[in-house]
Amino acid sequence: MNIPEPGSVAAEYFPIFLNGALTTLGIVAAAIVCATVLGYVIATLRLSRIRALRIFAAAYVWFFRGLPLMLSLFFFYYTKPFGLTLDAFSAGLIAMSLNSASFFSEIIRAGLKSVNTGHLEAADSVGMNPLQKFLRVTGPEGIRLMTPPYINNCIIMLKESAQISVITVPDLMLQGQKAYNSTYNVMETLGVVAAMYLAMTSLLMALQIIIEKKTGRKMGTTKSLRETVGSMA
Amino acid sequence: MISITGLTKSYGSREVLKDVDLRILPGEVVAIIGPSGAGKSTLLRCINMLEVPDSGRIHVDGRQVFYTPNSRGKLGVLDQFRLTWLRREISMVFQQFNLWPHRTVLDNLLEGPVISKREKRAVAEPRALEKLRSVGLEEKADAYPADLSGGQQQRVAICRALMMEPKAILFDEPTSALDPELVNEVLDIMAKLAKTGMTMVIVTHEMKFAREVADRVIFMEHGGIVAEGPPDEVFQHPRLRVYASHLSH
Repeated sequence: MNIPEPGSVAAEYFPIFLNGALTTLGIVAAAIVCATVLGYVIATLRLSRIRALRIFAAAYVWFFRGLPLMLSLFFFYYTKPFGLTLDAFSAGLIAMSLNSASFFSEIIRAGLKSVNTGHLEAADSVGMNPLQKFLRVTGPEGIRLMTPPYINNCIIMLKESAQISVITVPDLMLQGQKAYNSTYNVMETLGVVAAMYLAMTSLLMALQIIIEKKTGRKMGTTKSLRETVGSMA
Repeated sequence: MISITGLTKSYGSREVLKDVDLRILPGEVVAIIGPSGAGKSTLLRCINMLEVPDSGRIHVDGRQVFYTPNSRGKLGVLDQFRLTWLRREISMVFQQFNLWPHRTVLDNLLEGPVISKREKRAVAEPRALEKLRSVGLEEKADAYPADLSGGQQQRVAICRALMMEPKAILFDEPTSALDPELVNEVLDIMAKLAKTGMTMVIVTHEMKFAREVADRVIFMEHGGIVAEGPPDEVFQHPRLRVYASHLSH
């Protein structure tokens, strides 16, 4: 039995892993964008004055938050929903977006609700219209409050995206698994894959620290604010 | 300047304002006093539509304010667009200051003129610094609200209101959230402002201030105006004497 030189398996598979990592990044980034937009819509419906819309939004959150991602993946890939035949990537993207939107909508709702009413009234009192209020007060204050739980959720999405390997999306997990199956070298296949996942999640954590520094530090972040953020995370 | 007729407002079954009439003349300083829950703040907030009345007519500077409350008793989105003119003419100073915590003192002052009135920053900035100088806070221009004391924050808030070059300023219990030793620095500024001929409507619990600075005092109880007139006259009103005697204990 020939034992490969240490590092040679990792070196051989590295380009394949890199490709997988790009697929993972691509689908997660796209899912984050879709889930954020959809989550924002759901959050506004949830805060709407019309009862039917509130109920619809609550039902959406109840449904998708309560279902395993794996189940949604299978549903969109294998059952041909509404007669559509989806390729693995699209099915994964749709399932991840719908699933995560339910979490994002809760984060966004909490963020919108905790924007200080007094600060909004101050914006009213200088004659800002609703659009200006959103851009100048709700946005900046909301982002500051939402960042920690939002990034937290993005990290969870990135890790859970490994599940799309089950429906054959050629992501980092699937490439790692394939490499492991043909070499049985744990450290140089799954070990490298693990390092790559960690690198990607670290990137998100760094982003969180940057955003928090930018929005929080200069305001002399108060204790009450931290408590609000803590309870939301 | 401001004319209000037949204003009513309820929260659920509780009538907060019962058919209130009020006329404010240009340059007048009016103090609204009375026990908690009398409807003073609600009346004040109805003038610039932070609270929307159920019925009644409001004219500001001869222009009628048209409004329709939504189901929460606030202004609907369309009306908010339509009534920005009102908010640009009548500024407000809040009990809790309500400075925007994510902006510096200077940016708090510039927000109104630059964003809302589309003034050039370069034009508004010297004006803002001058306002800060007039309240002794020139060196705080680049500080954030969290770094200021309550009294300093309220002085900045008054500057922010003045930056709109309003026709009138509404003060909603401007000193109630302040530590006692900080109250006077805010009242002094308001007294100075009154001398410049600014139209001011002030909801306050500071009886001494109302008596000395206001041209007219309005005493409210249970959602209605019980007495109004020159301070010396109103402070002799039997109901107000009962109320004032409670305060001094």
